[in-house]
Amino acid sequence: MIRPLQALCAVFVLLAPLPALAKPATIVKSPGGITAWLVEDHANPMIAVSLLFKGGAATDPEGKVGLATFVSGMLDEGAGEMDSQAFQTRLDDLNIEMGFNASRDSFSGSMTTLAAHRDEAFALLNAALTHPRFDAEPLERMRQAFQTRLRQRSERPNARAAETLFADIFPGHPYGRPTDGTPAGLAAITSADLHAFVKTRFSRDRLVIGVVGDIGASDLATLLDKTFGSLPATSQVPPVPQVKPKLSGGIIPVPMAVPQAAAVFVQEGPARADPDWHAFRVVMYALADGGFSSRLTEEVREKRGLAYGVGAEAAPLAESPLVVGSVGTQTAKIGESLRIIRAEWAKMRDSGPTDDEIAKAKAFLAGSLPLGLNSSPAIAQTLTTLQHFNLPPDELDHRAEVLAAISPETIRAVAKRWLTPERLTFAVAGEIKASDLPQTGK
Amino acid sequence: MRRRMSLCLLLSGASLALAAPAHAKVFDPTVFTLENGLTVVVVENHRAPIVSHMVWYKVGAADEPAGKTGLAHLLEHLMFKGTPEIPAGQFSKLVAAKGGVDNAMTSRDFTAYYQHIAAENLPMVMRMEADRMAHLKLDEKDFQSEREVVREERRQRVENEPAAMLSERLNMALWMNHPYARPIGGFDSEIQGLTLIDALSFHKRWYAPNNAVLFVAGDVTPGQVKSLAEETFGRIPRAATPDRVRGEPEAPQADIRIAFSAPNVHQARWYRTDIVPSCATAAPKVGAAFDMLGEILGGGTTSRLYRQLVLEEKLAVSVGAGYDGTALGPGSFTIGATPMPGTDPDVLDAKISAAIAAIAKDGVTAAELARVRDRMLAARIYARDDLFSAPQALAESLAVGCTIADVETFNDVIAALTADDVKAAAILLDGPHAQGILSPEAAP
Repeated sequence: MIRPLQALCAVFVLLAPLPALAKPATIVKSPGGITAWLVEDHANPMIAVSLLFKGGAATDPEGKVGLATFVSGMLDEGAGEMDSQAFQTRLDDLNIEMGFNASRDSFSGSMTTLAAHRDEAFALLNAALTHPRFDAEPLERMRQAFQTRLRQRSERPNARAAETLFADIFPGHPYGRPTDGTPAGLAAITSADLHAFVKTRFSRDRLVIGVVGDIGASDLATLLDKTFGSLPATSQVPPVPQVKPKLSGGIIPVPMAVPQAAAVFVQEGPARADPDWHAFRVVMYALADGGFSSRLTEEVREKRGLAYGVGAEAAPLAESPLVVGSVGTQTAKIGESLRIIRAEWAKMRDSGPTDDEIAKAKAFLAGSLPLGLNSSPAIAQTLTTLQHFNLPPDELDHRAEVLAAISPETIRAVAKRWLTPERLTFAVAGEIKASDLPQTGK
Repeated sequence: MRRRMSLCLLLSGASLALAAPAHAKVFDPTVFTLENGLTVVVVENHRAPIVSHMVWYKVGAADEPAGKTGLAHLLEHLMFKGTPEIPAGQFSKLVAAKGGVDNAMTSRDFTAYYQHIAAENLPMVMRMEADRMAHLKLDEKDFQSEREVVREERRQRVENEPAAMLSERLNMALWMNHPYARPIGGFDSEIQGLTLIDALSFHKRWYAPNNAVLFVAGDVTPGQVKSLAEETFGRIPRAATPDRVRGEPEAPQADIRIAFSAPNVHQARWYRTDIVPSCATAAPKVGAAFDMLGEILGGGTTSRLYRQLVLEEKLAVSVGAGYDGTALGPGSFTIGATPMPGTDPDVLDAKISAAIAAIAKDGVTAAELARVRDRMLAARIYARDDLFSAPQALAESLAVGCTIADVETFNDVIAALTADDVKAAAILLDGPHAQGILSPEAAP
């Protein structure tokens, strides 16, 4: 016989805090003044490094949209004395994994190496960051690769809807441009542009570093100076202005011949540093960010079979924090999905989450933290993310207490303050007719 | 949003170009069998107070009755729709309320369910998973709405994705009479015809402890898992589940060429797939040789095909190759390329055939062999770092009728591989094959 499970359904009254990091992070400061957060772990002879420079694709110059992304693809395509094939062969032979990525607000990198190749791996990382070559051959090859990626992305209704929506709500602002560039922007980028980006963006004052694995603090301190010490102390990154999204509350059609329509929707949200942040995460979990525990999944997917995936989450962009969501429903019924989403949004604003929903959201948001720490690269990335948002090393350890201290009344007030169903603005890609769509919220 | 996603794409869709999970790991698992036939695999990892708990059933899309494609995948969804103990829709909520995440996946040969959760909640998820192994209870209304959900899943992941549509047709042409020809998620017309009775009979026929593998990795000991497994899964009686026989597909007698275009194709793609031996149909060294051949031909920017087609001849933007040998039936070897605008796909096909023929004739160099071997061996250390995904290879291997040794001794097999072994693999590819071409519609 299977034991009855009712006991497991009891409402949480107390949260059991879990140690988020099995080992605490220590702050390592090098003689040259470079800081990194380190989780020392000698269980496996490997080291994972994560780094992040504040300032990303939103700083791409006019006419060169896609520059940050282009740089991210070029740093491992030759540096110092090594051309592209020499650099790639060295990475392959030493089994070093190195990669870079640009988002709207930041430029990040990761490197994983066996401890045995530690010094050369950090030297290669230094070369990539400080002496990238940007030779003509890889430049044209990567240009083709990025143009190809744009064409592939344009096949996906979800991507088309998102791109159209951001262009619409951020007219004339860098956030309105696609992070991965435009065909014209990518076509215009030169080797000089790439060098200028590296020179003006990669500086020590904008850099945060996380390291996990088989390395001690003093060895790391030495390597920090060797790897990052030659970066300029400061840089001249063009500022990205704060912006309010232009939210019409309407539905923007994006004509596209696909059997399932994809909708992307957006409204304003709190910044990561906003005092409402944690309460708002609880609200969003109950409304749209909690998978099968969220009302949108319950109403759209579980009760009506209208979608495979539906949800929304806080997207704390530095200059315009948002909430972004998506849903995919067959063309003839997409209007019904949108109506339900708007209605649930209004209901959540008016009444807020129930006490039971709040307890479950808090339990998940605190209890699931260790699950993100299942590999060294994942832990290293968590360390840089915390620094990026100016949070302390023990932030995760206190999450349960922070959540427990927020009263249900506060959370319901936050729902009322932040949710704006009438301003929820949609873009819908598909073969849609106006008659398939609900009236706008205006 | 990735909820209850099947492995449709992994085996039939966009990732055609980038298959090839390398299984070069040593996880040092503890393996035992309960009296009712349930195989249990435990991998200890005490770095964080979390566990990965999975149940792998030895049944997949290739076991569906004729005319009922999509049944294995629909049942996977319905497993979240309740038992007498846990009402419909509550399973994932109970897991989430303890800070856990859960999901499931369906492939040709297996169906797997998992929870990642704090180690202290392992007893709870084991009780819940055992409960739905034995006591699935479905209601017609939930069945109907979930059937619509899987139809939306098909629209999203296959019908909206031209590369997945091509892959579906390419697989059908390649595998012909073999069950691997069927799309994992099913055909829409057949999904619509599936009934509640179909799902319950499929569950009754295949879901039993002696037809499953329990896999637990993380902050737990084998002793703890054993006693928990005995208290939960151990109480479910053995059942007479069918033997699984995949059979041999008809070998292609001539080249197969499937071309697909649609209004929303904006970028051409090219694929080639060959039916080759698997871990179930050949000695470990054969599969290892295909893994190595995939690395030498298309593993990254220093591979033969990348250097030739992307760097030198500029016919392609990218190219990759990979072997999938974890299968009850035959395995497959896939090469994918993104052609440069203006590249004739038949030229690409001819060049790649010639590159294979060159290895079939002259083999690979000692330097190539050594470089790729070292890379594959070093990958084991990274694999051991990853708690959730890498050690699953052990359970997957058992679920498709292969062995723990196929994973655990992979390093030894790789280390002993010779240039002749790789050449022998290339010889098996050197013949009639299937290519799939995705192209934008010609301007009207």
